[in-house]
Amino acid sequence: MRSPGQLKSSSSELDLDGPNIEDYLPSGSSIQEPLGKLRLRDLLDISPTLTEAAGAIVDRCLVELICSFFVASWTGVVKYHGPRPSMRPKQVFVANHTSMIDFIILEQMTAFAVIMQKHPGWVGLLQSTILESVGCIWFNRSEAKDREIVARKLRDHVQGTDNNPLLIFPEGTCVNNHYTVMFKKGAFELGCTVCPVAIKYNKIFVDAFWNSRKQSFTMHLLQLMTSWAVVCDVWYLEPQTLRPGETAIEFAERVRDIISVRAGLKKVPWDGYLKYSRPSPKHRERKQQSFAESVLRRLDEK
Amino acid sequence: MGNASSMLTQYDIEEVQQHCNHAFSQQEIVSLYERFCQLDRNNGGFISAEEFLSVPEFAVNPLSQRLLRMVDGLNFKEFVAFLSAFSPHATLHQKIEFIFKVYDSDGNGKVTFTDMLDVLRDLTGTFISEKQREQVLTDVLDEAGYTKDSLMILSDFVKILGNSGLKIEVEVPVD
Repeated sequence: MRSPGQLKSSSSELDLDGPNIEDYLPSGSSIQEPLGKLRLRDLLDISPTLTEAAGAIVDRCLVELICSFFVASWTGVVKYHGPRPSMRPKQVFVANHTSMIDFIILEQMTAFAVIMQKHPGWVGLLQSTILESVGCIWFNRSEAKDREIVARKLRDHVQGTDNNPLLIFPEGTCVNNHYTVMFKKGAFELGCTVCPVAIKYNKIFVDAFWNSRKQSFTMHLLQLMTSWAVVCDVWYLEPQTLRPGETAIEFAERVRDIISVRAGLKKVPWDGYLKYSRPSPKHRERKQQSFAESVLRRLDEK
Repeated sequence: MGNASSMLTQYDIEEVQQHCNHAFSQQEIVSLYERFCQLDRNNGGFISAEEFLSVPEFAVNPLSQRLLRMVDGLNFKEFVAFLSAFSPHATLHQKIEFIFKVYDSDGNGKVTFTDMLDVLRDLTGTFISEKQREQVLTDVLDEAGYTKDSLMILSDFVKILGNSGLKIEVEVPVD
């Protein structure tokens, strides 16, 4: 099983994660506590755990269901600023990335081809449900080989005149709408003009959406679907090209600056991948702990 | 059958039903197929370990790794057969057999002390010391008339679990 790798949890002060997964996972143990002395059959009987696992495989979880309603009924109001860029070849759009609906928002204006990382874990599940219906190019960034294929695909795409303009989210990951993290340089070494797009969500919207510690994700999604506020602002900014002597990374940082300033977002020097992509191990540990305690407790009974 | 196609024919459904010994109704098989296709995102005709682990409730399950070994790469027919132990129509014997297979990771028909210790470790994690775990297991085995060196076979499991009111059941959502 792929480990979370070198991801540190020091970023936990800032909520870089999306909605909190633990809010909707069943909490506590559903295992019935039998009484009496511990016997062999109690240890061998793993049926409750197996039932939970099979249930997870067989049944759609709540989030998936909510998302499918979400796609159908989302009607946000978006304000667009700045001249809509003309569609030219050798041009890519880059935008900061706050949520999976960024793509839907931008797609309203013009049909983009989007390249996004397919997130492992539950975010990927959301992405597939919402975004597959609107059409994205997926790639798995963690496969090194893929990077070359992707770079080639991108280059081919932007050279073509008939292709939809390419939209890239260089942070590579969802970041809450108060910060931008380091832009990956991939978008900036395609030999194209880069058109920055800044997306800033209305503060009420952002807080309600991302402050999942205070409310469950389900509630947020339902609130979202029923609200009629200005949801966000989108700014199309002046197209930029690589300056002589500038590296791709410097270019990326420069564009990130432009976007951050326009959208009023603070820049942080982190790599977007600081957050883990699997549910936290403490959820599993909680289950282990409760089972262990019941075993130990029953050992003492005679 | 059903690798890249998204439609199950009546013939396919009957074949799958046959293969799982009628553990599921035809409607349930259709639902399972929808679910299978949902999980099999890259349309490979099977659900990869990665795709299983994208189900959060599965990923946090202490036995997920063991189950993954059993379920990784199964095509739809085999997937349904795998789940048949969880059908309310499955016999107690079938359910016990499933549990046995979870323990018997090398599939040689014998469950050793180590196998049982491994599963116990998955279920208890760091909340019991290794020494305590071994002690607990040895004690209960002893009480049931087995030793550390005993090799359990399926009939042992049937004997031990037969009267325990085992419940392994999932409900397949049917629209």
